[in-house]
Amino acid sequence: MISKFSLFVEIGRVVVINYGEYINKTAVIIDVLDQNRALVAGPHNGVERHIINLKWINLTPLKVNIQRGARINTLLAAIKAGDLENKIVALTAVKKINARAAKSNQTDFERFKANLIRRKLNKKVSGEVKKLVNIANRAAHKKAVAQKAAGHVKKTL
Amino acid sequence: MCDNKILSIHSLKLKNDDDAMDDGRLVINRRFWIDKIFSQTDRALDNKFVAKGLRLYSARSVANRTRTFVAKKNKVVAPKKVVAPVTPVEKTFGKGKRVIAVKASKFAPSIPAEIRSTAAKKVQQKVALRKTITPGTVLIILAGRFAGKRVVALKQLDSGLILITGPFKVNGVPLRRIDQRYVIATSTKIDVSSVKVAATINDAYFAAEKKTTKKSEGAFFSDEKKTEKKKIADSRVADQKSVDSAILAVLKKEKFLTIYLKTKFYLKKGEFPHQLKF
Repeated sequence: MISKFSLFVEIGRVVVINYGEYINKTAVIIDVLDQNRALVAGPHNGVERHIINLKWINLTPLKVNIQRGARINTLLAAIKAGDLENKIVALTAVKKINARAAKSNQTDFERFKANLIRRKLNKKVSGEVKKLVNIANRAAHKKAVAQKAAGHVKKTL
Repeated sequence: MCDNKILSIHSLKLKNDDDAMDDGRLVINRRFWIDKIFSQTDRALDNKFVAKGLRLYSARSVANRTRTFVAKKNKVVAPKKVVAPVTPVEKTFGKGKRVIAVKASKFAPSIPAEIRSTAAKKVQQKVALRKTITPGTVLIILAGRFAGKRVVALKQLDSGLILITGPFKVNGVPLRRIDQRYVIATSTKIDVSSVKVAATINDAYFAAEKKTTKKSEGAFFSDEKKTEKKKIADSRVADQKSVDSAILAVLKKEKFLTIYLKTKFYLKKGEFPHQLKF
């Protein structure tokens, strides 16, 4: 039977921690202790080697080539060898986290500017949409008129 | 006559303890007035007994209130009073004569007024501004007529208040003073080094004008005052312009800055001021 899952809790899996002290940081699974817990460490961003509940982590598509129970230095070397730090930054989940952090760090003036630009953009987009809708409406109207002229009567109850 | 007298007494501001009799005589609560006058003149030194041997305030507390320790530290010496030597007086009482001893003062020697006046002088300390408020900081006003407006801080005045300007042309806020408690300091700074604030624009500049004498009855009932609008002095307008022109030039240098100051601050849905970074 083919599994419907594509990501697994396995040795070397890169995860994003979503709860607790290391929230919003990435780590690597070093060992799977039971069906609820795993041993993780993130020497690249200061996540201590510790046991974590699986509910506290989100799996990512990235994987590091390490052995079960790898030591910190070994893990660090593997992370460097796999150019993992750059890959992590490119992850959608990490991008979202970074974007959220940047937004909450905005100053009043930056917020104001972003708001202004967003408003301008929205105005432009809605204008374009309106144009398309108008074109479609006109076409539909033309079609209806042509059909009427051809003797087609719309069924009405 | 009699009625008038009673009326005049009733029109006085009487303490409850005083009683105006029906026939116009005034019975004064002597103790009350003595206490009152004494407490006004010597309030700082007044330390009443609450029980035998127990004063209302501690020695430390009285020292703090009288601040005589300051005089001690500054070594203020009161000029010595020349006390006239009091000689015992001999008086005749009917048949015999008696020497009357000089009565010692009932009250403990008080602190001479010279020392007290020196000690009580307090130097007004300069109000410390929040570190985030510096000349050129954009502030958000939180209270009053201009609540929500974003304005530019110019400097701190001697009273501790901040001198601000809209600029007036941008958002209608004139040169004005405001307490730092009523503003949020943003991290946006405008370079106001080119802005020269005249030394005449100080606390006295903003002091309220004294109201003219009471209006006559005719003027009170007439509708003229409604039509009259308070005119702003030309000197003020000139001051405003001279300050603002320099700021406006600076504002032009950065995009969106003018419209930023023009726009009122407000909280959107889901925004909480304690979570925002300004």
